[in-house]
Amino acid sequence: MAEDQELVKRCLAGDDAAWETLLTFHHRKIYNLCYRFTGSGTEAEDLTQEVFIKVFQTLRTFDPLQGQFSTWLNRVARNHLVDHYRKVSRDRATASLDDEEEGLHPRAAPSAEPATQVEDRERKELLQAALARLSPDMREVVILRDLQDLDYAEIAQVLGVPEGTVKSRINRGRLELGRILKRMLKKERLE
Amino acid sequence: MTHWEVSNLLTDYSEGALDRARAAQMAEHLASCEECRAMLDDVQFALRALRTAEDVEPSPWLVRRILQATTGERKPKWVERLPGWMQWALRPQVVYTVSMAVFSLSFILYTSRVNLQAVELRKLNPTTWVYRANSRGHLLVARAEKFYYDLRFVYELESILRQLKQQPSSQPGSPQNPQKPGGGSSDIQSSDVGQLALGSTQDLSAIQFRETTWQRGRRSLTP
Ligand SMILES: [Zn+2]
Repeated sequence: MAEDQELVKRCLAGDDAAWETLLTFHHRKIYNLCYRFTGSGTEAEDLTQEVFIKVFQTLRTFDPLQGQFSTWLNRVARNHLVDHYRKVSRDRATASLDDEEEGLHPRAAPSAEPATQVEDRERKELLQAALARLSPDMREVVILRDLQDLDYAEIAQVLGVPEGTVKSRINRGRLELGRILKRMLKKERLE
Repeated sequence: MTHWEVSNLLTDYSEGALDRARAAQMAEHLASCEECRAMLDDVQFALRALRTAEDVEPSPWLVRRILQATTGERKPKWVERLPGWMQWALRPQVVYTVSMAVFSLSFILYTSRVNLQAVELRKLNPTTWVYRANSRGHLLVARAEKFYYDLRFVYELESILRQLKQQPSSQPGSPQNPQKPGGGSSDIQSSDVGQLALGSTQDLSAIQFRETTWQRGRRSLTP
């Protein structure tokens, strides 16, 4: 959007209010992206903060001729998440399978919650757990396409891969996600 | 079409992105292949789950936290310095509801003439309140009526004077037009009841209208 570009220009000129506007406008999307990758609210907030610090420091490298600000922002966020995951996966290499199983069995909800609310929450946690089981390259395209509403071209730009690759990853990702979800639901019903 | 081709086009097919010929070919294959139908169902199942997923909300302090970490300490707004529940209480819906409740209560207290400095238990009986509010309400209506008639009398007088000024040289003996001062006054009396009834129904409909618009506004405010 031209509005974003104007705000970036003002930010670079040292206008703090413009930065606040830009941040207020975009932080929710980035937070959601981080949340979908981590499944944790606090972790997502930390990551969102780190992403925006990076954005603040590298705002000068944003080139409006190469695409929208939101695409650039998503790329910065995605690269940060990849770095973060590389670090975390090294730590988690030895982690037991129990952690992963935990995602499958959401903690029992307090009985005071209305039934629909419990269902709603379980459905959300189920999706989150299913996303976590998807391979990273499929997970990121599915999140970007179906939860962040980016189009194929934007995703290709964010990931730096051809559009055809994006398309086939989305295709496989959705298929795999559907299978995982069904398997998880079946397992839950048996218990 | 082969299984392989179909499996690669599941997304395009479910998004309606295939041209008519390809879609027809695919539909043909799906009709005869259970395996591919199951795959399509998996994809559509995932899409349903993803599309019904709602955005998650970050905490309201996230922006401030990031601002502190980037442009530096900013003087917090007075609202942000309040504890969480107070910020909640300052949301427009809450403020509106509370102020309406206070307004209604004070109106009832006023009309029922409850002296808050000398409240007796007996006086807090709702029937007493309703009775008092009712009689006080009637008194208000009566006063309004009186004011209305006072005002009307003044207007009548004014119009008569204007008429007299406009026709100073008319024949003194002959009768004037039908709307003579005398006729006018009798007119007031005869139409009094009608006017009162008309006035009160108009007032009532105005109140009802205001009430419905208020309710509509309230409904649109509550999420
Ligand atoms: Zn087949």
